[in-house]
Amino acid sequence: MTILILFITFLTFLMAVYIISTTYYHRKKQISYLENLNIIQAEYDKNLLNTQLEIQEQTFQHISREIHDNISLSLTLAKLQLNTFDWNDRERSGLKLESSISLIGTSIAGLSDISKGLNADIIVQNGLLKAIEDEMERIRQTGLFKAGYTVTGSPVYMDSQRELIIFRIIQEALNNVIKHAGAKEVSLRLDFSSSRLRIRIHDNGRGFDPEQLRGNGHAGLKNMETRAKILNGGMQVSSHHNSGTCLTFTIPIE
Amino acid sequence: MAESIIIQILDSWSKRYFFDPILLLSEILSLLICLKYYRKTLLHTVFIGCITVYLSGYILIQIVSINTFISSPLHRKIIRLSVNNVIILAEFFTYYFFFKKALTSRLIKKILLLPGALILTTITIIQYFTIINQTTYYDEFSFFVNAFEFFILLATSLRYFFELTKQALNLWPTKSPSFIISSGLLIYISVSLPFMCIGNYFLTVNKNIHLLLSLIHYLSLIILLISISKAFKLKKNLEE
Repeated sequence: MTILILFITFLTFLMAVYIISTTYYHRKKQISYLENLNIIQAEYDKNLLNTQLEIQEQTFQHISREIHDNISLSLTLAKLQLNTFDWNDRERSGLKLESSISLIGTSIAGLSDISKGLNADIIVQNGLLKAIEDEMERIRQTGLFKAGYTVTGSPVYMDSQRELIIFRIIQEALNNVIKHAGAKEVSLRLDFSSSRLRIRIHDNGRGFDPEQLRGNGHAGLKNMETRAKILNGGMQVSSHHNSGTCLTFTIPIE
Repeated sequence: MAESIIIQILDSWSKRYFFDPILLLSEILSLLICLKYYRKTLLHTVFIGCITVYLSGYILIQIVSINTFISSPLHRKIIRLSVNNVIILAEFFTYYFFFKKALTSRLIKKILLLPGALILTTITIIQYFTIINQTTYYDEFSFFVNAFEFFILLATSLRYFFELTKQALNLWPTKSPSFIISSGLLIYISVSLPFMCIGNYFLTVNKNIHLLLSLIHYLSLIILLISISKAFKLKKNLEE
């Protein structure tokens, strides 16, 4: 009888210990998981901040370059022409005035382009697809490129922070096409599926050797890749000399 | 006379393998630790009250067991029964307040009121008739209420552990006072349950088994006291 009672008591004790230890290890596992998640989140935030700073720095450089190369030049020319304005020589002064008005108009258009390109509100207000459409329209309006834009699948709306990063990737890629590719055609395709967004930007320009460009530390290409990685995505470059370039970004939809 | 008292105490303690002084010492130490880390909260006060009841009840039982002070066995039994009743009430309501704060389920908190009212009423009635009739006839009822109290606390502490697996808190279990107290309580209740259920029966049938079960009960009470002290030492709210 004594052994039986001792056995029962021991059994109840074991059950209590089992419940406590199971809960303990469950909680420990849960907390470790949460801590890891926080570390990943902190790392992600850090990368995001770094990229935002990089983007900001690039933006400042871009504004500076645009103002210096285009707007400043146009306004200086306009000022020079207005300085040499002669009320007595009406015919020549009229031409100077027209030219100055045209230069000031170009400067205003340049400023407007910079403003539109930098304004992130368009993403919040109109969403990613509309912002890309506007960007493609701006390229078309230059008359230098044939720009195609297609969307397949059911578009998924992401948070504005993610959409802004995607928009900046596309902007960077299109700017590279305009500045460096020497292309006549550029096409942009967004392919939505339930789990990912695939972005394909293809041009018929002169192409390049991706490895060589990476080796040279090309900032534009690296930035696009970093931004894609921040979104847990990736970038693929396919390009050869004189056979165009195709950039493919795969971004998971969270 | 003093020598006779000491001899009686030592004799009584030796029969119980000196578990009584160990328990007494644990209760004193636990009370001192709890007082040292006392914070002005309801739960801190309630737990200190409960340990004080344990300690004073135990000291009273020790005094009563000395024949010199109270010679009548009936009176000794009545005092023991009364002490036991007070401990049941103090114990139940301490953990009632504890789980009221530590549990998240409102339904369980409301349901707990029912056994609380039942225990309070039954104990009051038992105590009233014991004193009025000067009898230990209600001894068994008291044990039954004690077992009932333990089953309720067992179910509540199991509910606590269940809730713990569902909550998304980031406090390590060893840093959580409520986890430590509940663990101590679960061990105390589960190990003492056989004593509460069949201990009284063996008091007349087989005193050795009764002694063994009561010693196990004391041992688990020491574990509970250690866990309460440990929870106080964390210097946090006890329901955390």
